[in-house]
Amino acid sequence: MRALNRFFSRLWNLSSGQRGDQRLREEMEEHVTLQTEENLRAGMAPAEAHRQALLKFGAVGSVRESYHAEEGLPFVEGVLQDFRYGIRLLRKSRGFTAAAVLTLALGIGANLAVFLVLYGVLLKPLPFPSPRQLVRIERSYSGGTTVPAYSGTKALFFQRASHAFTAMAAYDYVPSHANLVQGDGAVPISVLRVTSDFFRVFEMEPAMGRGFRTEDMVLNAPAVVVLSDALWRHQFGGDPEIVGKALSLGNRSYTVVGVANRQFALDTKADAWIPLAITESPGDQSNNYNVVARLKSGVTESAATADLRGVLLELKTTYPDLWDRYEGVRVEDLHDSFTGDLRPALRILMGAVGLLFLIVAANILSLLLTRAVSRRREMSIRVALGATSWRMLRQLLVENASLCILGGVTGIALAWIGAPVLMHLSPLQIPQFASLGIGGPALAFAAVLTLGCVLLFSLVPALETRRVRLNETLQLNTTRIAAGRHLTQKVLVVSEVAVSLVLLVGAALLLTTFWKIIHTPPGFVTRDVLTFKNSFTDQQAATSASLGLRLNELKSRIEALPGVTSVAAASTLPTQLVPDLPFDIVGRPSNRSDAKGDEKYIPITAGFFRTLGIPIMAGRAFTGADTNGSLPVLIVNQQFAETYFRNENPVGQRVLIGKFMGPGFEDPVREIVGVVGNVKQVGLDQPAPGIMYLPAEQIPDLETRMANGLLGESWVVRTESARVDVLPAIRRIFMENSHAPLLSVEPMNEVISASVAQQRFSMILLCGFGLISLVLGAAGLYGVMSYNVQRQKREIGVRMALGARRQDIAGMVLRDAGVLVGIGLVIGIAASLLGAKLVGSLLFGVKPRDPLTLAAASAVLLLTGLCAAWWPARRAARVDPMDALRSE
Amino acid sequence: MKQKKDVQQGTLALMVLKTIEVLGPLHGYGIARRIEQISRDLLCVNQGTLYPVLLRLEQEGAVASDWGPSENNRRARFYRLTRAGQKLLETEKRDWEQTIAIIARFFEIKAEDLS
Repeated sequence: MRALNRFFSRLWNLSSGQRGDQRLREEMEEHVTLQTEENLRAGMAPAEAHRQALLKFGAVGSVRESYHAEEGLPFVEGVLQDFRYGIRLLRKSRGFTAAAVLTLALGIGANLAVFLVLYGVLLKPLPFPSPRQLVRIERSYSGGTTVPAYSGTKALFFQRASHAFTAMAAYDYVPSHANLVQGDGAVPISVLRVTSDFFRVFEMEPAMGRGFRTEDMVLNAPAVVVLSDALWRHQFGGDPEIVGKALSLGNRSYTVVGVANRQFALDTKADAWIPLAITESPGDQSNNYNVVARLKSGVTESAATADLRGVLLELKTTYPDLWDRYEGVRVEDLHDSFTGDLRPALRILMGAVGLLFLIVAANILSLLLTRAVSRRREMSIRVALGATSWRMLRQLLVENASLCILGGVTGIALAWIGAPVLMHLSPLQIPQFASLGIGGPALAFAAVLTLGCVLLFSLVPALETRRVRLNETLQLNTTRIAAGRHLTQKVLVVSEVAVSLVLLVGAALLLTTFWKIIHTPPGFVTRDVLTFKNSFTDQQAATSASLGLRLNELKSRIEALPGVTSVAAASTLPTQLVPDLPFDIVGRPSNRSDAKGDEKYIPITAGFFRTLGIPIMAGRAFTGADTNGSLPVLIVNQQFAETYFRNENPVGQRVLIGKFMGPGFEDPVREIVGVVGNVKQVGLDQPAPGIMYLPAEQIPDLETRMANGLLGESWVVRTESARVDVLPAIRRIFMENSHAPLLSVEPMNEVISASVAQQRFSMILLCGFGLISLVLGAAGLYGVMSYNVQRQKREIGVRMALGARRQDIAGMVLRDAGVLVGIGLVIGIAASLLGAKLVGSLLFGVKPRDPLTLAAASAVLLLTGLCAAWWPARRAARVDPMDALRSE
Repeated sequence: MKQKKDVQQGTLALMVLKTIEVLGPLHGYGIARRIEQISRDLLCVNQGTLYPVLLRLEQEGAVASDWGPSENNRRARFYRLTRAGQKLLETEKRDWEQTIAIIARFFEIKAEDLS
């Protein structure tokens, strides 16, 4: 308590600048006077009395000092003094300060921005209670491939036969589109169908109302819906009385029973949840659902996997048709399964900014070392005046702290502004649950970086100056000719070059990858094609025949618009999601032994190949005559033909699709009537898959309804030129004909562009980092070489006096720089070769150890290095020998 | 001449407190003189430590100070004991007495007492 009182009183004195100087002086005067008087009384002569009084009092200066030490907080005062001195120094050399602070801010800002994403996505636990207990159940096959989709029957069977979970739920593999009807208009929203335990698995019962119950799951139960917090706020104005009200999705009415917790978000966006009515059936092969579960506490993932393996054996006796001897099961942490795809890209990004940070730090350190050398005399004087080494280090620490905190704060501000922009530009499928706010962990991360810099920037120069001999530096060393060696700075330059090379190689590899990807022919013509989607109501898509009629009607109305060349609809667009379906070739043994026998399944309307310019290689395209009543037909692509009909003519062959898929999916035997060119359906960087195209009118009704619910209908419209604006007319046609709004309207170029957005993003970021590192590396080299030339002036003068020509001198400087860059390149190449594996998963069409890329990056770096050394070399060559020798 | 001893570390504060408890408000010189007097001139108060100690006691709230007229009608700073100082003095006094008692016991110890 007393100590606290005292501390505050001292703090008060310190901060108010209040000084007891006056008071102390008066007290001391009084003291001496009283003593003098007493001495006089004792019989001394006045002069002697005063002298004795002063002697008795002791050293005034030391009294004053210890008085002050008691008065304020000397340590803090000292630090503040150092701080003020540091700031003065920084303000004096503005160029240096601006360069260092900006570089540091860039380094810290970039690292923080990437850290925010990394933390939000990978490190921060899912926003649910006990998130480690949440798992996803997946089918696994030999070779480590897993497929997270399950049939409803298996999901239900797992739920009732397993023992390792407290709750399990199935939900749609892909959210479906639905139109929320409000007045005359309709808002497209995404709806996820889920089983009754869905909210219980996440232990996130809705914030208002209730979640689903088993009685909601029964077929023909009253239709209920749970809204997302966002939908409730934006579309219903946060109506507190929403529970119990009715709303229309498409042409069906639902009663709102709850509004989900605000934090409730999975990987993909869902605006509303409705019950998923599934029942067990022995022939159910449609793998359309994700299965998530919560482990009982204490049960590990491997124990749960073992439990489910037992359940699969039970399945063999209950549903022999559904059992597959190649199919295993895997229980994966839910967070890992959400973020698995992002992991490699994020890790590479973090690694790249980490390297960038190394360069930033090396650069500033090199600047500081240069400055430390020019401040050597100042430091020597301090030491000569009695500064202890701790006192010297403290000053360096405080000075660098001012610099780094300035940089750190600017960096945080940069990240704060930059991270959302980055996310906005980023096509990385950032999961919905990820939040990117700057919180405690991010600040801690920035603080650690800043502190690391402060220590690094202080300790290295401090170690350097420890070697300083007091006498040597204080002497005017006029007699020295050769400059001393500065190993630390050279090491820094070499490491900067090495790290730059690694970044440049990474950037070059991604650049090549991207170039290769976008120059891969997609298999169709993208120019002048407009695309959009829509979804029909369940009623409109009730049967393939009726939907087919509707599609044809829309198609012919759009085709009649001026400027439109041709139109077609399909279940999906190139580079977008497509289901795989099993099939058998008539006359061959069934090939259904694992998922490998499945191929892509795309129902289309006539005109699809013409609109997209996909070439017909053999046979014919679909025509208006391929209707619901005509001969069942099929068109396959070249890849399909090569895989299954290597030595036969595919045209005329007969195929049966979805034999075991269960009731409602029965498909007639189809005849292949044509073979078309390959399309890069699953991405430009992936091999073209085998595809089966079917007339939309001919597929099973259930397939039509599911496709409409899951994917909606996609449209491609070829216009005479990209400038023809037919959109308003098309919107009107859809509204009049089907009361359906258009979704995701974009030119085909952008569809393709969006499919490579992730690669483009990584490429741009890494190129940016590479460029920054190149500039910083060049600046570092320039700094060191200029400094060397400055110090070698006398040596250069002597050399010239002895007959060296100007080009010899320039050559000498360039050679020095070349050696440094060369060593850096060798180390960098070795590091790139060692680290090549890490980027392997991101590359396409280029080897991670591509010699050409290595050579190109090295050449760029070498050239940049020599350019950076060119100015110092020129300055060296212009040295006037007489001047150099005379100058101090 | 007698050899004067410097005040032992840490005891000066206690002496200051006791002095102004007994004699009432005093100025710095007075306190120094009185301490020397009480110690029968065996102690020499180092002024370099007296004023910082007074300041520390004031910051701790044990003493308070005011300007007032000195014997010769000049301005002097008078220190007086506060209630907190009174309490502090009592605790310190108890501590000292205890320490003295313990040390005394050690000095009186003879070999046979421990056998």
